Amino acid sequence: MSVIIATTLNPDPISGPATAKTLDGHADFALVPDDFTGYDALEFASWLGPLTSRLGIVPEVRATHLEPFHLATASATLDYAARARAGLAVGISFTPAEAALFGRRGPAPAPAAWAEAASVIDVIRRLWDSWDDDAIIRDEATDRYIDRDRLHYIEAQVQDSTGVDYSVLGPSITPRPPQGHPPIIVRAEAGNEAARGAADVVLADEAAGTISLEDLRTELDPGVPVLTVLPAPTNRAEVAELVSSVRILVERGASGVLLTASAENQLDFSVRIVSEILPALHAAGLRDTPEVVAALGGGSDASDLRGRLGLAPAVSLYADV
Amino acid sequence: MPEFDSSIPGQPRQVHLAAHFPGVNNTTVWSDPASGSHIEFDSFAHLAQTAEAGLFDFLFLAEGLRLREHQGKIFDLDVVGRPNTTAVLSALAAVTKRIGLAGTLSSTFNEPFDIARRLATIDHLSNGRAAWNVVTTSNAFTGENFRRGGYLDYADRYRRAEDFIDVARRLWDTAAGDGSFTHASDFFDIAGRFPAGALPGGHPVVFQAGDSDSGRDFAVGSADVIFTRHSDPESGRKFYADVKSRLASYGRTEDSLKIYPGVSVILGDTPAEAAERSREVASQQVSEAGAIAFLERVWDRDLSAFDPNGPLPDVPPAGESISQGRVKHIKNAEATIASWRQLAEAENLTARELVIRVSTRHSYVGTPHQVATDLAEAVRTKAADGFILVPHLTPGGLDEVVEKVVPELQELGVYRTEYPDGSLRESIGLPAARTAADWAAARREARSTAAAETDTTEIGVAGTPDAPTRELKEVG
Repeated sequence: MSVIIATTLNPDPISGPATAKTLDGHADFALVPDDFTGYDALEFASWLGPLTSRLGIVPEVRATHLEPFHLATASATLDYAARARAGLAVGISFTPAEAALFGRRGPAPAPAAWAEAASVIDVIRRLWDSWDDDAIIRDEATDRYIDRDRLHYIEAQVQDSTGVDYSVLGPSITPRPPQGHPPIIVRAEAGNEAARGAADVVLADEAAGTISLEDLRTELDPGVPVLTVLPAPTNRAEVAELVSSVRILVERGASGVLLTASAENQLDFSVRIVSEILPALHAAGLRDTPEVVAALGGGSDASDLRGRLGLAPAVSLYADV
Repeated sequence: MPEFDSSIPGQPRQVHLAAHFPGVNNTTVWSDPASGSHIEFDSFAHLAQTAEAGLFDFLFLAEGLRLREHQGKIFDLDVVGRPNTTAVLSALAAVTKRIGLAGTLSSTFNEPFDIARRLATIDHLSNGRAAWNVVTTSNAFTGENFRRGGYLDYADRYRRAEDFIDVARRLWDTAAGDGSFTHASDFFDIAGRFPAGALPGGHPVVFQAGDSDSGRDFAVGSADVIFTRHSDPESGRKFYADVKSRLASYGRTEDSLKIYPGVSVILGDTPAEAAERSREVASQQVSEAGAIAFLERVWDRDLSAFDPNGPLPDVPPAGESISQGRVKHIKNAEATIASWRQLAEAENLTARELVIRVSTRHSYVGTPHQVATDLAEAVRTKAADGFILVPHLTPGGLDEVVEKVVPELQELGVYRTEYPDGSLRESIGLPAARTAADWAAARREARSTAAAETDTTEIGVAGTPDAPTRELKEVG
């Protein structure tokens, strides 16, 4: 029994690296939020990659106004820089303010933006898979660097949030990332069944009252971990409460929790995770020791994020092509 | 024009060096046992740290947003594949301290808010070391990977790029205040709030690589650094004089726009050894299949029936382009082919030998002392302000330059012995960043004057491209 423990990590250049290094080897992953008001989460996550060695690093991207092609290559590159510890939290933009930053199209209601996000998740995975793992052959006999039969045009058709069609041809410019499919994480919201159905990990924030763990567990594939979103405990009493909550959440079908801390509190909180929360969960029989958790990655690379989350190795969408 | 030199008075003009990450081009040798990965992060870290040990100004990354095609199929003879530009620069910020991090980013397939925020993030994370090589991408070929799709005609490409840079600079200006902005133009209609926090480098350093007349005006009107293909000192001096002569009308001093040609360096313990090494590398750079593919791009037709070790194909060129996703440097195929036939006949060259002859001339070949002296001379005679070294091997292709040429340059008194304090601007020797409004006002002034004097066409209209250059290396 080992619950997944994740936390938010705000892209603050002062507290960010220290927080990441504190969590490294202890928490399973850090989610770097991005609502366009601060530093770019993908860049910040890429910076954290070489600064850490065990921590999963998951930038948030609100895909509605961004190019799927850039998202695919940037997340693949993060997976190289972080040595198979990248994930990608896919979200949406639906406010007029976010639309105005880009000026490309008007705002769209959340359901339309989520519908596009589900397609974008598929496009991103197809671009990751558009290079077979053995595409680079360096064959001196024929002077060929790649075997182009091991690269794939994805020819994806997508409808954007305002009803305009577009296409993404592929292949990616970036070879398949080390994990094949870095885990894609989606926060369950009313009306985003398709997007969360396409995710590797689903976040459930029950505080909003529109989502329940039981419903999600019924809806989702049994292999998809659901993490409950909870505020970070700020004292010992709250840590004890968290441990009891986790026990109940696990019984209700959760695989772990995502704890949310503010930029101001995140460094202190990371210390609390390592020194109080994880030992308390271990004492309660809910979490293995860091050594055992790390070994979950299996094989030679113990820090692979998919392994750490209990996800099976990714099979390419073009495996039989 | 009065001289304005950033070097210390009484000191010779200082040489600046930078590093180009090898990869998707026809000069990178992947078949050598010393050739490492072009995608693993360690390769990027190695080259960046080597360049930093050599006190280089910056590491430069090219970009291509669609895999190149040849005869309708993915081109498989050169290195294929590269990381996302900004993501790898952000990761490099974590493993370096002083070297500049320069990335090529298309203004055509990106949005200003997104690019400005990415670069601002890198500038903050690296303490003022971000740089942006602005390119425009004209073709629908690349657009097939993007929701933006489509393409702009040549004139609108430059106008949009200029506007794009202006918007980015405005956003960086607002970061020093409360971040709020609105911008409405022919190309962008955006408003909102840019993340607050003045950038450590003021603005990321802006590079431009165009070579046509309008490309040069674009650079003079918007760029801090020009990355040029004029790698031989003679053509470099002409280019340098022409570009720098345009600065005054834009209210800019000569040291506010730096010129860096892309160059290759081949070293040996003796001049003869270096020359021999240059021949060996040239031979590695052009495989038999690669030679035929090279000729096919000029002939624009299938030449697979011809023997690379036989004479040049005895057929005329066709009209349709068979290559996509790369910059075409030869404008007049028939004249080029005629001159190659003469050369091949005069020197009794096979097809592959001819390709080696016309495509792989190394810029600086010699002992470390010779090369250092030649680099210093090129800077002294204003063929360049610095050089972007394009190694043929990943990731160790500059190890020897840093180990042997840098000390020689220092010995000559033309190379720093430590990084200056400050941001990448200080490393390059650029003045402080000007505001976006300043740039725009200077451009308006310069162009209204030019229009009044000569009734000339405005920027953005295609200028006469330069005569085809003899060198056909791809360094973009």
